[in-house]
Amino acid sequence: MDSFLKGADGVAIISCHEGECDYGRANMNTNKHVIFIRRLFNHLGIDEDRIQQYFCAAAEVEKFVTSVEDITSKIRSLPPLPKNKINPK
Amino acid sequence: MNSEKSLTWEFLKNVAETLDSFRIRALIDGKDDILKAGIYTEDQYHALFFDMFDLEQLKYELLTFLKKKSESNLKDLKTFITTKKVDLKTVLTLLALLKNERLVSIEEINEQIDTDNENLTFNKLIDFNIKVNSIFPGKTVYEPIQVIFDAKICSGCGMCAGICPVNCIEIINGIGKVDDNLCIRCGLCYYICPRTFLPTTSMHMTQMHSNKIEDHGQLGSYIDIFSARTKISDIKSVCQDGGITSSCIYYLFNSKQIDSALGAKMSEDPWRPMPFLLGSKEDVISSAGTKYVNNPNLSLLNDKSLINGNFAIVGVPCHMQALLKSKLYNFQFPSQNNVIYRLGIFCMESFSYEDGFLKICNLVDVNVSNVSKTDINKGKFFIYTNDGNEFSVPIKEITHLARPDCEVCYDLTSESSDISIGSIGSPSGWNTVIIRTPEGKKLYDELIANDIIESVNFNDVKPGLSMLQKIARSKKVKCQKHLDEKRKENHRFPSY
Repeated sequence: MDSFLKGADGVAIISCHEGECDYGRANMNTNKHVIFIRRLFNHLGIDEDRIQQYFCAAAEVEKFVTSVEDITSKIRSLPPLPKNKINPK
Repeated sequence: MNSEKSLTWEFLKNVAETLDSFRIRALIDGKDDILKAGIYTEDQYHALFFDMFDLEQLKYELLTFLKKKSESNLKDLKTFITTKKVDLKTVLTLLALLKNERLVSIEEINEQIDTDNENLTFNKLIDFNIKVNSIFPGKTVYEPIQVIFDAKICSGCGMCAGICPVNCIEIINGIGKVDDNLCIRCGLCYYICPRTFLPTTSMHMTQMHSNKIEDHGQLGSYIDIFSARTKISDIKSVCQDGGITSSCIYYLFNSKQIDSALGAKMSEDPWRPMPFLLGSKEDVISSAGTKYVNNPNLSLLNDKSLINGNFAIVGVPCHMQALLKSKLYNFQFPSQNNVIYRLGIFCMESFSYEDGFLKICNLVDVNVSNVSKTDINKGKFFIYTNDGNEFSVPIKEITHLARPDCEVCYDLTSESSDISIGSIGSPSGWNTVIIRTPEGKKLYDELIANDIIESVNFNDVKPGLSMLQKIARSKKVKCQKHLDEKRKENHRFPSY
């Protein structure tokens, strides 16, 4: 949510595949949160595509690129979110 | 769905703040535990969560609004109401929450009003002085429900046990017990407990469907008041006074308006009541009669069968307060929308089983298994035995045996119910019936139309209204005295 407050129009979270996380199950815990935030966005009337999680291993360069392209194209098609004009951090 | 274009940065900031609230966080993180416990299904969990989220978000909006000024009053609140298109009731409800979370401090400005009859004075709320506390950084601190149990102000209504999403609270002998290993620290129990904080002004407003701050005197808000007794002979033989409560439930089962009802019946221990889910009109007969031992009726709220049909709840004032509070805070426990009638019973004080009721029996030297009926009447506690004897103790001599939490209850006449039923004010064998809401009126009219009860105007009976008001007032005064005492000694007390 902080990123959105600081002016981001979308957030992509790129993590390892399930079971390959260096930090235990951190990627899947994040996944739970992402699924949850998407549901919440739906409830609040914000487009749920603004936040997305992609699973790419460190070696999967192509998948990384397509992921980034995927989210940028999705977000370009959406109107910009309001920004804090008074106090941009 | 809102359009994205109408969003503002403030709105996003607000969402972020709400997500930071511990209650919301605990619900998100505890989702797996909640679903595993099986009390809430995934859909019910989401209903509960999003309603809670919306209210919490509105709370932070209100807080942000209040922060703009060093002091706010009722007029400022009205500005908030018009810009946000919410009603005064909701705002007052949220204010009570903010006050309890010590995010704001509220000073109520009251006007003393003298009413004509018998020097009854009461305070009329006319304005507020609201200041936002700067000590706390705007975050709510989690406070466990245990503080209520420890301070002995728990009413044992069972609401917390009934709504706990992981089923970790149990009411033992009228006081709750939390299983710390299971608890996910969501604070819902604290949030819904009638003894933590209770927005009484907005509760009256909900009852009356009004949007004005009014004072409702000694008996709470009501539409009409009658004296009545049942015509059903089966009930007549087992009921306490007029048998109206039993008749209501009996009729509702008969006319198929309810599929079940929540009440109390005697357990295997003689005269120890237990929560009981009535499933048919035959159950009504077996559970009729007053029990003076308190009972966590609402702990059955998590019963699965309640989800599938409408039901009525019978309970004393603390049960009704808890129910109305949950409705006010839009708290969607699975069967929330299925509660169609709330039947309140008058209550001056109740007794715990071991420390109260058994001691009274010892006092008059009666074996508890021999007791056939108990009654409180004309300042005395009566015990009737199976062999036809009658024993009595003056109430004054047994008041010290009553539950300590009853000292801080202000409510004699179940001000938060649809219909309140009791015996005070009516002649022997009759019930006093206070109709409080349109739903209650509908039920009462149906009872008369179906020739189930006979009803007379309350003004025509003796001792009548003045007696009821006097007793209700004495309970309020006593409660106020105990609250002041607790405040002075820095003990925990419920904020009304």
